[in-house]
Amino acid sequence: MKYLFTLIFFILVSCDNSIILIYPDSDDFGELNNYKPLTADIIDLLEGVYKSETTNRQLGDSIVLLSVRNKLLILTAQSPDFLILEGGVADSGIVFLGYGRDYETNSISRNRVFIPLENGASDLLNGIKSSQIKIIINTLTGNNNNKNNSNFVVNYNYYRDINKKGNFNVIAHRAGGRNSDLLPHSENSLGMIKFAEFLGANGIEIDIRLTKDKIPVLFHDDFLSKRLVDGDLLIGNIESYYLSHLNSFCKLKSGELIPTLEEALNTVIDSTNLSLVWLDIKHVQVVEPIIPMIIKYQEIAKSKNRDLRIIFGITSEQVMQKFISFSGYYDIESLNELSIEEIYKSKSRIWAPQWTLGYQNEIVNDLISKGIISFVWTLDDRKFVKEFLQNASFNGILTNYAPIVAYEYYVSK
Amino acid sequence: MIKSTFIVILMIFMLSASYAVEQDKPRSILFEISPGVTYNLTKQLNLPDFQYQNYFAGITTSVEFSSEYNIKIGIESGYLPITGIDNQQITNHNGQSQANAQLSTIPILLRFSMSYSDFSISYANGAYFMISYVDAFGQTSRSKEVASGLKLGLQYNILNINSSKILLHSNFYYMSDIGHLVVFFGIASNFNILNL
Repeated sequence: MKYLFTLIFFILVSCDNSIILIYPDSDDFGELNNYKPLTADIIDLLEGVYKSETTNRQLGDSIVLLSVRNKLLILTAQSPDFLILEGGVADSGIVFLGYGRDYETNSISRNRVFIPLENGASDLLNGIKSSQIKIIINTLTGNNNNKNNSNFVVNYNYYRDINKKGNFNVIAHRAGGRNSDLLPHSENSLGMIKFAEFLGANGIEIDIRLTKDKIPVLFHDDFLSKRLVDGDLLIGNIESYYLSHLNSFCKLKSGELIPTLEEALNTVIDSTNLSLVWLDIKHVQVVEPIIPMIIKYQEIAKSKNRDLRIIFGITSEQVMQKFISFSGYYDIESLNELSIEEIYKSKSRIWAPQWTLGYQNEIVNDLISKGIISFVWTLDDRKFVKEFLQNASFNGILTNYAPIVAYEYYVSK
Repeated sequence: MIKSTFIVILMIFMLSASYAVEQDKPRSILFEISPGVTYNLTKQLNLPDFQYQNYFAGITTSVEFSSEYNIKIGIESGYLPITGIDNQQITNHNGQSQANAQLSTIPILLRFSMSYSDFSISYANGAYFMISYVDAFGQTSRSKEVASGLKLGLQYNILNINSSKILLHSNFYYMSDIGHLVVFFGIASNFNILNL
């Protein structure tokens, strides 16, 4: 009997699945200090789809290079899903150093990308977009304590420009991804908002709740759960606490404070190039305080020449009734997750059905003819992402895995 | 890990309970009250800059049905402060303030217990009514939440007075939903309030 209990005990203990990922910081790539800095306009010239010289099992046959705020983002079809790199100019060419992240294996790799002078770097440094660019990617995979490491090198050649037609929206769920996805920032945090573009997203969805003093904040769950916050003193609804108490006694899982909606919108406007913010209204009481805020920040964005859409998300009949009770509600861009009839009632310009309802091409195309676009949520699986991009007419996808959606969109024709 | 350990101990308890033997004793209703001290064993994920108080005075109480078998079934409750800060200075971007805060719980648990000589062990399962209170920056927040959880207890009989007993008493309370673990040490008085 004791063996049986011992066996059960070890099975239960082995179910403990807490994983901590340690992301490298810029100090880990000190080699870049030896090189001349690389300007954003040179990285812009690198954007495109690149093909491997041979069949490639690691990163995949095709990769996408994007320029994001002075860094190089590489999206792949295999592992890692994305690489974020900083660059410099060496005597022999252009060097990028950074890390890659694989969602499936929860692993981080270190990467070195090199473009020799004779393979396009020389043209790039002279401001010429070359179709002869060859990039060499060196990836060191393995876990954080360097066990089971492997090292591989892959060469890619420039193939074509990325697909940019249709103003497609890659919308990052909870500002980038869930806490369970082990990204370097907490979900619905300011850090994650700034990080969203490095995941290939051009829009974000954030969840809005109210504090006891009626301040809209970014928070997803009904409760201050251990999944979202650290802070032993606070339990129950976020609506039970004043903002000053939330700020003083709890932090998000990666150590950030719970952000207010105003802080989030300021961050989007001033620190990112995101073009869309979808506000997921979690409670009917949120409606009243955020309507003037949407109007105010839409004006601020306009005054700063930012092409930004702040979208009011209608999630329930109650929220919709409250929303349409405001005079001038039709001047606020809204997204409706309810039925087609409700879209017309709320004068919404976006419809957002769940992906499990299928392509719904007839309805989506009919809405497009009436000036209403459609986003589908929440699509995470690469196979379904591909199928929806090929067969459906949606204008955007809400996802927890923006690098996957962005890759599949940019490589599509 | 904590949950697994509790489950394994529960399995041992249930196995032992299945061997409960009929005894020559009347059925009765027992009442127990135990003042004592709680200590918070939760893995600290608190914020820096506070001195958290993790031990408090607490009380537990129970009413149990004692059958002719060596197993008792009853309801256990009490009041158990878990953690808190007492009159501490906070300075952050909200300004400066004296702060008081406390997290406590009122468990309502279904308890099973068995005796072996002067020892008895108990297992309980049920709801923990969590209560949070924060007072800082001239504002007071109060919140509550119901969490499910478990309890394991151990008692040692140190004195018999007529049909009453005095026992040394320790309980481990685990609020599995929210990950809090609290130990309680007390001196229990156990009274036979009704013979059936």
